[in-house]
Amino acid sequence: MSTNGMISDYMTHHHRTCDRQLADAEAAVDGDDWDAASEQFTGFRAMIEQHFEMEEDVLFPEFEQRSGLTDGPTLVMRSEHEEMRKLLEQLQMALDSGDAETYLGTSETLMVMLQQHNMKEENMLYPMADGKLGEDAGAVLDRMRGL
Amino acid sequence: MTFSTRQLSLDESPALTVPGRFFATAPAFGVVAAALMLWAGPGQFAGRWSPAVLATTHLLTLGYMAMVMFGALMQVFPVVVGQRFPRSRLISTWVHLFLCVGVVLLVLGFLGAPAWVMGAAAAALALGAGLLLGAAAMALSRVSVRGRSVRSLGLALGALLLTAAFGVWLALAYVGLTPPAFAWIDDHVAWGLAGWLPLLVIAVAYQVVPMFQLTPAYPGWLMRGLGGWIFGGLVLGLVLRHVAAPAWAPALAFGLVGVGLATFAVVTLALQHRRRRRLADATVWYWQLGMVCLAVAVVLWTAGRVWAPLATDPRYPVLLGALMIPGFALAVINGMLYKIVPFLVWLHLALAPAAPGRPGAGAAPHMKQVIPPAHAKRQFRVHLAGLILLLAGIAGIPLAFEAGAASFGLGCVLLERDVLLALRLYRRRAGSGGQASPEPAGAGSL
Repeated sequence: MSTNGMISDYMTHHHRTCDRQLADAEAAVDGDDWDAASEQFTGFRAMIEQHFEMEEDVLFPEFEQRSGLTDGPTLVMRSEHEEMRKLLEQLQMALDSGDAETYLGTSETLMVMLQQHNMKEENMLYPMADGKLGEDAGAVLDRMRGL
Repeated sequence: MTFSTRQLSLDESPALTVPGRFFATAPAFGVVAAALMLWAGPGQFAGRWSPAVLATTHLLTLGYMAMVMFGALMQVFPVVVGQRFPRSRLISTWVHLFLCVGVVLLVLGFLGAPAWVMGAAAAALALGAGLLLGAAAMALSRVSVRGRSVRSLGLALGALLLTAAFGVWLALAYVGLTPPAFAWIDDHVAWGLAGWLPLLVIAVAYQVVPMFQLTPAYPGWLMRGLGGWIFGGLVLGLVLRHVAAPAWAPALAFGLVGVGLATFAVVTLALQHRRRRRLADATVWYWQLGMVCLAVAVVLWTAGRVWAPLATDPRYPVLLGALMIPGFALAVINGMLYKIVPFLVWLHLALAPAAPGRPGAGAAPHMKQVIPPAHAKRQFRVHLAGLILLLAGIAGIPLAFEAGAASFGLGCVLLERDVLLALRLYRRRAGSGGQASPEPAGAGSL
């Protein structure tokens, strides 16, 4: 595989893995299986936090440096990460108090927020990052995976 | 590749009123359509040429379908192609106004108003569609990453341009302002219902079906080829219809379009069958209903080509229209509204900076508090009942048409109530700090 599209391919695949885990946690709450829900949600939260960090600590700074854009798309992506962290906190509280209705409503909200966020990254940001990084994409990806 | 800082920028994303005014108006035109069906009665709907059928069709396609599609386009452009509509607040105000005025005048024109009314309708609709298309073309021309979504949207907008152009011409000819244009009516219908409508739904489906319902992705060959296949088939059909070709030639070209549409419907149903997110959800039900109606419409259309007595039955085109408009188009639209509206209300409340006396972002109501899922499911059942009864009524079962129109109208009333309550919740929450809500960061979302 050429380096062209490396970031896109890896990060898009990681998005889908996170999505499945979120859906599994939701299904467990819907099925009133709180032990499984807790396990699935904890796994999801760790996974998505890792994803955010790969972007915020490595990918976005690289993109900003090479594009000269520090107040554009990455700023919006960072602010959406913050909104999603608030939703994660609300999900944790709903899980801890066994409130299925709040959990499912918040999970639905997070799912839509996450998907529109992913669309922007997959349609625009990742292809552009691949373009800007060129030959260095492999090295940057290694640093992201190393987190 | 470039990515200008204007794109996805914080203070230029569309305000909630930009798509909101379109979403709040559309179901009202559905209610008017239902009232017209009840007033005119089933006798007027036994064939495609009565004034009541023409008026009802355009209340639904322009007042409801295009209304939601135009508002949604302004909202999804930043997410899907990374470009905002230029001056979205101003453009949305005028497009909405021209569309509303145009539909009302057009309906009056069909129902027998003087010729100038139809002329004014054609002018208003041409201005509304022209403004939308111009703004969309400007946004698309600035896109730097030309992916599949950009191509799909471009094809859909190209089909809209042709539909609108034929429509304006036909409206003027209808009242004798231009020479008769009967030969072009089917082109207007084909580019609208087999072009603009499915091409836009397909462009949206590529993104929405896999990502929101967690299904496998659409196959690559389908995403690469389908839009061009449908558009190409329509162009071929258009040319063959107007040159001295044998009658089977354009039928074959439109048959290719039908194959494309049926493939899309079947693949979508198969993907949804394999979805990972299995919670009962009105949006999924609506997509499934829409795909079934689209597939049945293609089968019925094909049957009419093969077996002539079916195609010459006056009820046949009305049945096709019912399957394609309330069956396919409005099902997908209602399903999307029940996701988009609660999400946008949550988003604009969550991202608006907290004002004194206003609940903080964490307290924004989640989507299921904005519109309870039970409301969406009830509205789906009422719409489904209305659709089945309307189809039965058009086929000739006594009293089914009246019951179907009433049920369809009730569905529109329920949807209108849900949209208005959601927007009122936003206004109350956003305004409770004593100040108008500013446009929030990242509100170009979805």
